[in-house]
Amino acid sequence: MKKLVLLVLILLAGVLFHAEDLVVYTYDSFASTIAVKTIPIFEKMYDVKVKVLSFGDAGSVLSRIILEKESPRADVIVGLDQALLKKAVNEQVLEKYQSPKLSNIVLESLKDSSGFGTPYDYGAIAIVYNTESIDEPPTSFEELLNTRWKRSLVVEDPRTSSTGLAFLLWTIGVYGEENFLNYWSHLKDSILTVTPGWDEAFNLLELGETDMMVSYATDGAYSYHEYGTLKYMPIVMEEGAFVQVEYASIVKGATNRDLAEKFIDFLLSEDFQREVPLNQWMYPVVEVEVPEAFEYALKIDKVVPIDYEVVSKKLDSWLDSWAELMTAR
Amino acid sequence: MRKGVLCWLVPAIFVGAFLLFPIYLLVLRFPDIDLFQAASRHGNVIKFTFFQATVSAIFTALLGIPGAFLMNRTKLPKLFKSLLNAASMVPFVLPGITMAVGFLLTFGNSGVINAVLSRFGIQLSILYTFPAIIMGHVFYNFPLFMRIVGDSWSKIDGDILETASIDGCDGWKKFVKVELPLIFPSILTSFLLSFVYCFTSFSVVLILGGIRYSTLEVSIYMYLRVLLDFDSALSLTILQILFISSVSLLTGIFSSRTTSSAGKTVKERFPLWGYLYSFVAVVVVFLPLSMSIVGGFVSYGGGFTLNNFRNLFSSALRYVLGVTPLFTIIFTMALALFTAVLTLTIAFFSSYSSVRGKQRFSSVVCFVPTAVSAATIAFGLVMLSRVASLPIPFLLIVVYTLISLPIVHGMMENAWRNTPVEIEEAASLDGAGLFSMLFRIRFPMMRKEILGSLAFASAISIGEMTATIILSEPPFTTMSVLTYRLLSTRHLPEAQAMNSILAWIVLGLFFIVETAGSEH
Repeated sequence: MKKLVLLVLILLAGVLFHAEDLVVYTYDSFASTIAVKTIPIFEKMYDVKVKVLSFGDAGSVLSRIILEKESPRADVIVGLDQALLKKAVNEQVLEKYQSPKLSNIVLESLKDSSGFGTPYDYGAIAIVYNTESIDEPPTSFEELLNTRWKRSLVVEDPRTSSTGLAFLLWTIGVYGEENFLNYWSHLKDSILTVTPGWDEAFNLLELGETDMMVSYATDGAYSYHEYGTLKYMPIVMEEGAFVQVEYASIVKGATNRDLAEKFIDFLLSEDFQREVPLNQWMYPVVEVEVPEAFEYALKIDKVVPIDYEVVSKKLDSWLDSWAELMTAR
Repeated sequence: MRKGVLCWLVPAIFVGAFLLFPIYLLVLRFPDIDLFQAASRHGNVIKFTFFQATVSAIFTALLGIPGAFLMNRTKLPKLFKSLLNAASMVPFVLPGITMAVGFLLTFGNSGVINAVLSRFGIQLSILYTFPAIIMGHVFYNFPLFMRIVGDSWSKIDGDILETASIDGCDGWKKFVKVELPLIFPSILTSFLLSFVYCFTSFSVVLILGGIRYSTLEVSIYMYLRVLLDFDSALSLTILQILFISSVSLLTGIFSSRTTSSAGKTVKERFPLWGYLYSFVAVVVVFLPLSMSIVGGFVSYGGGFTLNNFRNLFSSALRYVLGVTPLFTIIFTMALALFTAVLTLTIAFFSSYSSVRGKQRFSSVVCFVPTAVSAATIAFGLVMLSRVASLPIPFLLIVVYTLISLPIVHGMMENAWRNTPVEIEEAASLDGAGLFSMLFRIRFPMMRKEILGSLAFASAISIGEMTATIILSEPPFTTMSVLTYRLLSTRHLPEAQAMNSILAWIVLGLFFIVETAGSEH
């Protein structure tokens, strides 16, 4: 009997000790790059252990949170963008948190008005072109329709790719929900093909099948830093940039609420923000020194506003009508 | 009692517990299932999916059956044959992105074919058309015919063929009257498998055909991964399960039992048309395949380089979190081994009951996993592990087994058909017990199929990525997780290099199997 009690006590101690760990769910590239560099600092600061678990892309991570709603395991979810954050709020899997460090954020528009998400970085989608084969790239959505660009752009399918989805939302932001389909019906002629993901599109660019694709604003900085080339550069679009913000949130029913708050505050600290550019290839949200390579990243001046309340209601019907338009022979 | 009545319980319990029950759990959580609405809303997509799968499977058969003949019934150097056979298995386990590079380098504007044709002033644009989809599917699925029909063909009793020849039955007539009836069940099995895989394919269709051609699987992906609309995704999945089950049930009715005893084998001279065929096969299959493997040498910004491999090793080291690369390799291989053994065991029973016991239900059960996308299987298992805590390596083995089961079942069905009942009966008259029957008679006679199944299942488990990244947690990292990390951090050239290495591993694996399988 004594042994049994002892065993139970040990198990209980194990559970209690285990509860000290902060569990963070995030997408894979966050876990394999920036988390490795910065989380040891956080662990040292508060003398705790952080368990970072990744399950593919941000959509898969949120799916997992939704599936685990009844008995959540994660305390913090890192990596939801505006659309996914809305989805998460509607599914009621998050808790509100107002970080005291929010005031350090450089751009007011990055903040989440619902109070569920804390922005930790942001980036933009861009049309990237091969500088060796195109001298004068198009500089606006209107110009893209010029017959000069017939069958020369590769875009990703918004039904299978987050990059493609962002591009679709961008055109909706520019042309409005009434007119974006009309725009796409003309854009169709400029499109060489629609790929299932970013990887395939990039292959087409690399193998010289195309000279323009939908990619990221930091591609120039990335290729300069990693491969020492400026062959692929982003284009500034007159209509404004499509900005993607990434948020961290506390999961509803988190066992370590205190630590979770501290973790989110940490994401806004200089220790973390400094690492954002060269690991995330996104822009930091607070004032920190930016590396030289970012001179080749797109400067974001004008932002296309998107109402994510409407997006969350209408996205599936937009995707349906987009697919109908694109698949029509 | 009919044979194999209890044997179908083995696949039924496995598929029931790890696929259907988890899907049921998902349905409990997301109960807004509406099959009727799903069917009517996706009517056109379903029609097109069905159409392209049928056409693809027919063309795969047209290329696969002559290939199986040439490889197994004509005189070819043994080493050449093993190498060719092994190479023809590789497409099946290549990730979509690697395949795409192979096709671009072959058929693209600056691809090999156009480089040759441009000397004659011809420009071929085959990409982004319907024929390109067919070519992609032939490329992927023709190994099924090579393997399954080929195994049947190689086991046709030489005496039967010689008798036919003596009776004046030769060439085409001999094929139609003598050989075709004997290999027909294996053709049907291969046809069904390629139909099902073409039905649920989506990256080939989108990459090679373009946006105009999307399949039901694209819609499922959209609901599940982009809109996170589980209700709609589940509705379509259940619809797909019902459809594929009925197709496999229907096919089962036509698949009559045929036994050809394996006596001596007769080989013919390599025919003249074989050269023409080889040319077509090289263009459609082997050229894109070699180009896929070359894909690892394409540098960032175009051009060829060896740097990718060097970069791969430095960045791979970075992305193996908390464990050594050696552990990743060992873990991947161990999972492959367990998967291969588990899949073979289940398929051994399921195929016994479907061939010997004529339990068609057994085949239907084995086909169900093809109707469910890897991501849905993984999310189902996430739900299951909320009910019963299961270790992660076990979950991964379960996923790989589910994905390999349909093919291995098909291969083992073929093995049972090719093992003559007469020999077993004779052995049992001579007093052979269950044990010696298995190890002395059945296993040696099925040697080729068993080795092939083991290789297939392990190759699939090495290549699987979608479910693996959803389920795996540190310290359990597989090689495909590593590839995903490279892709998701935009290290595309390095990821290609990794895939080239994987392709070599798989090629080596099948080559060993081929060489071991052909020895007697």
